[in-house]
Amino acid sequence: MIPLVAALLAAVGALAVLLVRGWPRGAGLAGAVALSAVTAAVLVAPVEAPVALGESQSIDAPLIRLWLSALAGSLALIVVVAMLVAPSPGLPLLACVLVTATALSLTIAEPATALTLAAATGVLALAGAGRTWQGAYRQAALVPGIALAAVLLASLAAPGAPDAPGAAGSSAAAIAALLVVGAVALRVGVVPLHLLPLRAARTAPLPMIPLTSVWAPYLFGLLAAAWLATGPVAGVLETAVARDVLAIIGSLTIVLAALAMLVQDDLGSLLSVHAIGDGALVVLALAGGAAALPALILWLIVSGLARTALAAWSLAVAARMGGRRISEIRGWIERAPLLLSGLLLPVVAGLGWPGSPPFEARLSIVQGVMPGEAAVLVAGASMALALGYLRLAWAGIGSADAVSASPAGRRRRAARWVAAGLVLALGAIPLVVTLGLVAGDLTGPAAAAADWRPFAAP
Amino acid sequence: MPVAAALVAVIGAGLTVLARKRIAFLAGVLSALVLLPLCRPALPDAMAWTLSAGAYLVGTLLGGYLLWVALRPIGPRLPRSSALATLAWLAMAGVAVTVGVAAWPLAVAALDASRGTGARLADLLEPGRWSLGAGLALLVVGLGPLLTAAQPARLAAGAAFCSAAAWLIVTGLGAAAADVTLVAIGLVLPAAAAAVAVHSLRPTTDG
Repeated sequence: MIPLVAALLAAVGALAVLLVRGWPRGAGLAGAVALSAVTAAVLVAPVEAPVALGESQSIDAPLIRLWLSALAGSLALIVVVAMLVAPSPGLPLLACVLVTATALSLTIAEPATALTLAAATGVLALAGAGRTWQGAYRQAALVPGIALAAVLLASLAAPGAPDAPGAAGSSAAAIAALLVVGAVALRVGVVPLHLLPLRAARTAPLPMIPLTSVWAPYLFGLLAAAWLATGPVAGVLETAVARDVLAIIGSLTIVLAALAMLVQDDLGSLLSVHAIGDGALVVLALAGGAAALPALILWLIVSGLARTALAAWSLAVAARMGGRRISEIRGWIERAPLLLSGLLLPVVAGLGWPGSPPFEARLSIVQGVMPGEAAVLVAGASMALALGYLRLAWAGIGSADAVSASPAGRRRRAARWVAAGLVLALGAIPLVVTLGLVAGDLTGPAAAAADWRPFAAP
Repeated sequence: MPVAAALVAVIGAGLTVLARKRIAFLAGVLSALVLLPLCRPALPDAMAWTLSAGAYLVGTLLGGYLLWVALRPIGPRLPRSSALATLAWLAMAGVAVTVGVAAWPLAVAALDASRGTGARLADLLEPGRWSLGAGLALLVVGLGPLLTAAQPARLAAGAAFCSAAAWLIVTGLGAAAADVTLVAIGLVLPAAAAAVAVHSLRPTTDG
């Protein structure tokens, strides 16, 4: 019931934002209050038994609470940062709508409904994209239909169905699994499907990127992976050919994303390429089956939190320096020294270290589908994605231009300092997970038996 | 009833392609989508289905309103597309309906040998046959003239048509979708239309 309450709270927040949209700071405040209320509700209330919703059920699980608290909490902070440095009603509105749709997608036990809703959320999130939105929209628009067709087709092949087929049923299951893999590839943006999402990110407002390129695709990837691992087509992808193809696609995307990170000159592109590289682990996890799911969940949460923190950092730096290209933020450390920690914390949290939950999660996903040396290479490439941020640090060391030294009033200076403090706080959230203080047991040996799957039978 | 609903969906898809005025376009989109819950072999007499179909209807009408909002900036007339291309897409949609209706027994038999004989002997008014045909027509129209268009409202209609087509095709082949699935399908058009409405109301867009 609590996920439904969370969805209702976020929907009320969206309505409140719509009502005060003419006053951008008020809209931001309304959105932040609603998102904070959602975070508090999912953190405080105990996990409950399933509730009947007609012929379906609303399920509750620690995973759902963890995902919702990470999403709503991090979005609440970035909404406040945006309210302070670049207020606009668009971000709080879309954030509340995304949290509503996420809560509903995660809690509804019926897989066709959950996947269609998650895919439609991805289409809706593109409202936050910039002027080059149409290509990414066309790509995302295919996903709800593909996911719906796949899940319904799988019901024709389900062993328990009264008209259970034999060999034809296997074909239907294989087609359904392939359709879902295709939908994940489209949504996550694996090579060569990365071009349109990347083009959209170049013009997207920086605080919108966690919604358009991170949380919405990750939600669909998580639900698709959970359905493939626990639904009626479980095991279809656990053949040598399927594993090899998925491993090659996922690895290629990670390696190319690591190289692409080194040449991006726009903060939005940098965030989007990193999200694509991290999201490619979903494709590897599809090949890993149910054993890879606990690690995937933890990985997506850490990555989502770190990407949101870096988006907040980018927003604060771009607002302070007057541009979002790396050449335009030269000398940012001199102008905003507190933001140096705001950059380092999420980068370190996303990387992890041997023994830390995200490090082990990444390694276990990769090692689940490829042999020793190749696994080390791909896991290394995944970590090397963070090298792209070295250029940001290098740009920060340079001397700042005169434009960014323009004097600001006391209120504006105070807003900048508060925003930098919030960026720092946002960067500390993924670090808490990386330190193993929260959800560290999700990658442990007992995790596979734990009640964390969205489609687990109640 | 299911056959009539499928035919209305096909006619609506055709109207969406032919429309030159925004009111005709909206009428086409809504008539293609609004009767979707009726395209099933037997209409259940259950509260769950009634509520789900009602929610679907509300979602589709809300999507229609958002499409109207997205179309407002361009005025009452839609940008013209080539008459030859329009005719070609309509012909392809017609072929899709014919193929769906004619090949339905083969597809059903391929998926489930136990239904093979019954499917072959089914009459022309078998609901699954027309669901498959209407689904294929919506898929052709959704993937073709709508999702390749530059006009934002057509993109949103394309997204909704693709989802509706998936539902029609797979239920036509015999899948029993849960009623609550209708609610999610009913949210695709408003979600897609809300995104394009936001972009249409901005000063500039880019193809």
